[in-house]
Amino acid sequence: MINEPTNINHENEDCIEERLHYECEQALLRIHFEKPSAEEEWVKFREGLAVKSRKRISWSVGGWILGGVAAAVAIWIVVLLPWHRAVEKEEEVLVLFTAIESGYPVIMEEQPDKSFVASSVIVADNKEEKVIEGVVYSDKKVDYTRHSGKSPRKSVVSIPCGQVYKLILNDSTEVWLNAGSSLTFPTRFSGKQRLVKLEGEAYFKVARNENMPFVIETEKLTARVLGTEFNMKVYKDSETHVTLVKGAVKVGMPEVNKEVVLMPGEDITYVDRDFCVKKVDTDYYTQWRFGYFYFDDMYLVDILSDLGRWYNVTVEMEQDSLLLNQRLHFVVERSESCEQLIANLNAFEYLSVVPEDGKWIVRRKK
Amino acid sequence: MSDLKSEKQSIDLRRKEYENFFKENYARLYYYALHFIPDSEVCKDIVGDSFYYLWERIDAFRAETALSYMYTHIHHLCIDHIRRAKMKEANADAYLAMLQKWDTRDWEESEERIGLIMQLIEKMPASTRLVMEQCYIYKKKYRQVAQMTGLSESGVRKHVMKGLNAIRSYFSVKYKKGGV
Repeated sequence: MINEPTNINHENEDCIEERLHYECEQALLRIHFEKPSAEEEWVKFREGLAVKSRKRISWSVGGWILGGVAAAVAIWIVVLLPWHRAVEKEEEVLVLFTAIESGYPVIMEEQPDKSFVASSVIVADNKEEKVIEGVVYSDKKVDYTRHSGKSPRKSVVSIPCGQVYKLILNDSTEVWLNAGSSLTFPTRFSGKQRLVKLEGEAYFKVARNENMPFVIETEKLTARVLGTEFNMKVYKDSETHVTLVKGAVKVGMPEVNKEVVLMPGEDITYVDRDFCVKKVDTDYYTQWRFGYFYFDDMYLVDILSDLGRWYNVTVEMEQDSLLLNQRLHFVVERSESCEQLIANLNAFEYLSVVPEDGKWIVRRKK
Repeated sequence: MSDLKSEKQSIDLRRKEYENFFKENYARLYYYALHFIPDSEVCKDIVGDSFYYLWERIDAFRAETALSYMYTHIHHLCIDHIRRAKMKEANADAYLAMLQKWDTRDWEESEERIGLIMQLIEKMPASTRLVMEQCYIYKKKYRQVAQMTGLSESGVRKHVMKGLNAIRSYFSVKYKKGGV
């Protein structure tokens, strides 16, 4: 009892001394190394998540993808028919998505003779950044903001299934391209407007420039903005969506000669020359950038084709009127394994999803 | 349908908690990694990997225990890195045992003291600062710093002692004033 207080005192002194060294070192480190921006690191972290999860998934479904790839030709055959048109067909199986050879993002650039060739930088699975004429290329993104080439060129970036890629255009506009999409744009903007062309799905964070509107052309819709954030989903033969997060966007529908201005939180669906604007939770439409799929009241067939595109797996569905007309809510985190995803789908009382020969076979649960 | 809404809400909530945890602790974890490896790129990678590891286990995420867990994880990743890179394993013991015992209040007090020490260091002569940086950040021996600076070995030692004593006396005066 008598010794104890002295002991504690000694320990205390040692502790204080240890703490002093730690805190002194920390103080020196903090003076020497600039404080990192937690906000910036958080954004990087979330962007990295989508890529990392994808790598894990490709391990867990490696066998399936190989099977799917072997079976499928390396051509883009998305036999995604809207369900109501598909009903006319007599075949029993409806192919919702066909897996295609998985590769790397490809950047094609226009040459002086107007031909397009793949950029000399193959954006391979390579962490190292490469800089050519001020353009920074890597396996996750390409940055044109410091493009120093003398003449602007046309460029096309195509993203294979199962990947997400980020572009920073010359005007600092940020574009996230979802799996199986492509964007055509000039390496430097000039003229009265900033014109790009989109196929597939992309999230745009457009840098504000009131003198030079940003215009996105797609097969069926155009979007015109000054500076805003929104998602555009225009995969061939499926419902098209424009979802506005911030600012304002004017959506043009040349087929029906109509224009609509969206307010933040609004989504426009355009299908079969008909459109519908409604208030939505924009998270459902924009979180794919960070590795989430939220499907809110969507057709089962559209959900399955999105999943096929992301996991790059062929999806076949039995032609069944209940399944064809089914709408549902569904959440997927990309970090989930394929097994887990299939188990979650099978939890619906009417749904049976079975992996077979590298495909997912979807039937009505008996 | 409402199941999905509530599922989304619970995922959102967990993610929000995680995001707050990330933003509140990123910097201090980064500086802890710098203790082992004075290279900001390597440390950012290590901290990022550690956060990713935590993200994969987000179902079990609890903000109260996560910090101590992250320190341990980063500690191990740093040691791994040092071994792989065949760097010298200086101070591998680190301060982990001490930090793991800390509670929220200890953390806050420590952050406050670090802030004060930064101010004290910034007032020190450039030569003292340089010597302390070499010893503390780059873990150099007095002999190596002596060669680098042209000071004698005992001169180096004196600079470090002078620096530390300035800090010690600042705090002991403060303790006395505080009546502890």
